[in-house]
Amino acid sequence: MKAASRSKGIAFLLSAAILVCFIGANSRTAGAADPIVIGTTVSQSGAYADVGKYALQGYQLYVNQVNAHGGWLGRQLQLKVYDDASDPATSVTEYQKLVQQDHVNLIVGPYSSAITAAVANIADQYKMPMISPEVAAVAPFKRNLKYIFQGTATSDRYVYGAIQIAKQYGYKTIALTGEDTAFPRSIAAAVPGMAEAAGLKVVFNELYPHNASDYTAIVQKIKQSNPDVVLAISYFPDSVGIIRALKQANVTPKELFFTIGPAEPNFAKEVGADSQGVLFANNWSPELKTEGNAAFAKAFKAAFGVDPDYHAAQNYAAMQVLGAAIASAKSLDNDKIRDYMATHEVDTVCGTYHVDSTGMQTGYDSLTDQWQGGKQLVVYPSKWAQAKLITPYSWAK
Amino acid sequence: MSLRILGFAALAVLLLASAMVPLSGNGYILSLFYISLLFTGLAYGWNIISGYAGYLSFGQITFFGIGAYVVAIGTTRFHAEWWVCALVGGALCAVLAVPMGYLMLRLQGPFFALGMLGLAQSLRIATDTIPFTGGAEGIYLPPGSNAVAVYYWTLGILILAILLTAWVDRSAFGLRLRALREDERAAGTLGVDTTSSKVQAFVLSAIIPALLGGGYAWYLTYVEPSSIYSTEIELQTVAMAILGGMGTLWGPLVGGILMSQVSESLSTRFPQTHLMIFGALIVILLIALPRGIVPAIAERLGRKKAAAKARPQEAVT
Amino acid sequence: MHVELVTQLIINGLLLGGVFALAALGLNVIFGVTRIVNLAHGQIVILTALTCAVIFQRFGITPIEALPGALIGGAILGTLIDRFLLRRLPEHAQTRETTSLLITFGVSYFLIGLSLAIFSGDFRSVAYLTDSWHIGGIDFPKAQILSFAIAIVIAGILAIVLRSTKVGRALRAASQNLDGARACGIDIGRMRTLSFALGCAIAAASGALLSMIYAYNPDTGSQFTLISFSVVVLGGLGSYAGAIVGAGLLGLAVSFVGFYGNTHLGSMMPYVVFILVLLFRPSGILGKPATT
Repeated sequence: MKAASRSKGIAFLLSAAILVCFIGANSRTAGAADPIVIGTTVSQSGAYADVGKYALQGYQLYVNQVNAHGGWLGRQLQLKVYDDASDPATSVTEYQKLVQQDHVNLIVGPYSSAITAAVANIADQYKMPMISPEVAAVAPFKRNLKYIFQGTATSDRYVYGAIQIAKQYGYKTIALTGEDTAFPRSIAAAVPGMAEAAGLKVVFNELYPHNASDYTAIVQKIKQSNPDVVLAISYFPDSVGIIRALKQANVTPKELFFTIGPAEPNFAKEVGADSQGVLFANNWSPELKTEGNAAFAKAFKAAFGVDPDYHAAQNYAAMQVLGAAIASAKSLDNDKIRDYMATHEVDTVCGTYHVDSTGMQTGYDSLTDQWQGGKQLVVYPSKWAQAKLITPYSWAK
Repeated sequence: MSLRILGFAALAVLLLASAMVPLSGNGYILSLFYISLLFTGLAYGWNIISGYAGYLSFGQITFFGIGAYVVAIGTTRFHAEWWVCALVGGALCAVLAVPMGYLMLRLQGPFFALGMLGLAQSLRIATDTIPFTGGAEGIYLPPGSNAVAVYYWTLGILILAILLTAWVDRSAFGLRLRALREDERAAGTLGVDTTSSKVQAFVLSAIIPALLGGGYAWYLTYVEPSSIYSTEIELQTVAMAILGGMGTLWGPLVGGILMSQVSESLSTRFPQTHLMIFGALIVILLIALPRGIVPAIAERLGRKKAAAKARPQEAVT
Repeated sequence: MHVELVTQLIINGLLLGGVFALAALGLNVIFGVTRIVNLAHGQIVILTALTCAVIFQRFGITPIEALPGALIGGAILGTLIDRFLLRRLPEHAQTRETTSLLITFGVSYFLIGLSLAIFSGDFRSVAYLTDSWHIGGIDFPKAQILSFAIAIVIAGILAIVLRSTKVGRALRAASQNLDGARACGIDIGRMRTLSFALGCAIAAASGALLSMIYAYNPDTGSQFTLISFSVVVLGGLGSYAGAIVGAGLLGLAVSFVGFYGNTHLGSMMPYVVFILVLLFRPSGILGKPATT
């Protein structure tokens, strides 16, 4: 009977395959004693997959460079990376694996508040300090946990430059919008206060949901409010959606500012000529005159064929902080490393790292960049400015 | 010798072993098994309304989410014990499931399936918007390593779910569900109160994910709409139950354990391509064993038995 | 200027409806004949959109020029899915529907993985036809108008094919009464393959057009499938005119609610409408009943 033997055969093959996978995955031996193993998860699939790629490359570059120079404490570095699929529960399992199964020496933090919030418990449980290179929201660091540190500028600094620019050029009214999720909300919350202090007025304030199917309605409302400045606290796809909708609705603000989306190097390519003059917050820029930055940008391009973005830079910087801590502690003692990261300043490619007693970042600041001629150039603050600001904004012909 | 007794013995061993996992002190094994138990439990919950009653739902995550949020809100705003909140969540979902069931179960086939999905999505968006549920920011629960407590909780719920399913499988109630699954109109003419039976099944299928969701919130110590009302979790649950064998007692167990282990192994060994392989694997399994693994094995064993019976008794030559 | 505003909202709503309709037509074709919800639908749309973005940036080929290629590619994909996967299922009705659903689910996972492998997680878009015609104080966005027009054309061609050609009538017969059609000598297997090919071709075409309107990455596929299904249900199963009308109404709802309410409520409209329709008018606007 063909059918019976066929499904019999398949069932057998299936069980064999599954058994092999199961055994294979779970009989991993502990890492060899010699290299220093740093464990992390990166979002290689799921909602944050676009960022995960750069994040990983930032880590990899650092590890390769340090290894070429003899490693830390005379030992080579090794990265152990798992995909957290942008999911907190998966990340928890993988970090547990890194600590319990792979016996990593050190851990570094994942992307997103949600994942970090879940994984922070592990850092505390095993008393392993964890620097979180990407989480800018403030709430995760207000939970009285001793082992996590913020490796990026806090969210409220992101719009500071945009408002100062508006003030400088006499723009009076702001239309504020953004994605209604944790991080953009924390930025948006800071805007009215900052605007008032600078003498500007917020004439429109409404957020849209993640994965909104339509931006025309909210853009119509923005149009009705007739603003000088449009501040959109948005990620990549919604930045594109809003900019398209603004153009189609014939809305031409004098200043157009998006937070996170345009920081991606491919923004100009995906948006086209309308990217010219778009302002955005960036925690980092290739030409920033910070410690080892030029070398970093060059090495990154050489290694991966593309320019680094700020995610790559932040992850690289996180490793720099870890490296400094280890150099100071002269060992892998987690408590010594933890104390160092809690109390010291470290110069990195992103600026000067420094955290307060809750682990929140106070050293890094956020820059304001502008897309000019297909390049991302810092225009504010003047200390770091590389180019003159182009204003007012206008649409490409 | 009864296969059934063998099955129960194997189950007992498995459960005993699972109960001892936290004692190993290995946090990774704990997390791994927790995820397996969680999904197996969810698969059992799904199995009642979808496997036995035949109403495939893509929205059971609704109750999972409510359970999770009740614990999140209860522990932060009312400073109650997490498991008390979880029980409240379960009770709440049981109550809500009645009117929901009456409304939604009027739909058939893919309409019901996707109707439930739409319901889950609406709830997610609502949770995103209302400040009471923390909105898109989510709610941070008190931090801590709660994995052990949540593990035992989940194991307990799973055992209850298996016992419940065993009862459904053998009871008149289960018979009524199967009848309306095969042909609802005919069942009705035979005197089965299909509406009431369906709704009861729906309620049972709501309580289990609610209780499991409560544990999940405590495990992660953070809830937000997109991680909790996750289509990923929903679809994986469905896949596990179907691959194991819908409407069977052992199907969800086999499907849940196998699939979560395979998924984890794939993700480890094929970081770039595990999604592709996972998808291909699902497709291949579905084509090879369309009714699931357990029925396929049962069928083969049944055929062996029948063939043995049919063979004339031969004397030793 | 209130009239102008409301007119603009109507235009925006209808054009959004065009986008929805385009996305939904493909699903409707498949569902109508095979009763299978193609869960891979959204992913096919995305995959095409991503491909169009890359070939536009690399070779300067616009999505309009790529449209024929998209149609052919989609048709091939649909044919493969049906012939090599769905055909292998046993004929038993209950399991067939649910298993087919899950097979397309598996395929969607596969396509997500494939898209990630080829395109990485980056968001992509096509910067072409990004502005509007401005007539009498009203803005008519070019890309959306074009999508709308093509949606009408495709629906029109579909309607003509279904009404007047032999193949079309066979398809309609199969969608109305499977056994009856079989009794008339219609090759049901071929009809299934045809509907799948057609459905996926249209999905691919919509992906090409949508690439000019939004930015996508491999993760954004699933929401498409649900919205498309909402439109199908709203318009009524098996009714293409219904799908267009339903899409238009949905677009208007999103536009007006989004403006007078807020964008959250607007974005909820597809789901809310979907549930309301299912509960209170399951046959949709123009279709056949969905309940017992």
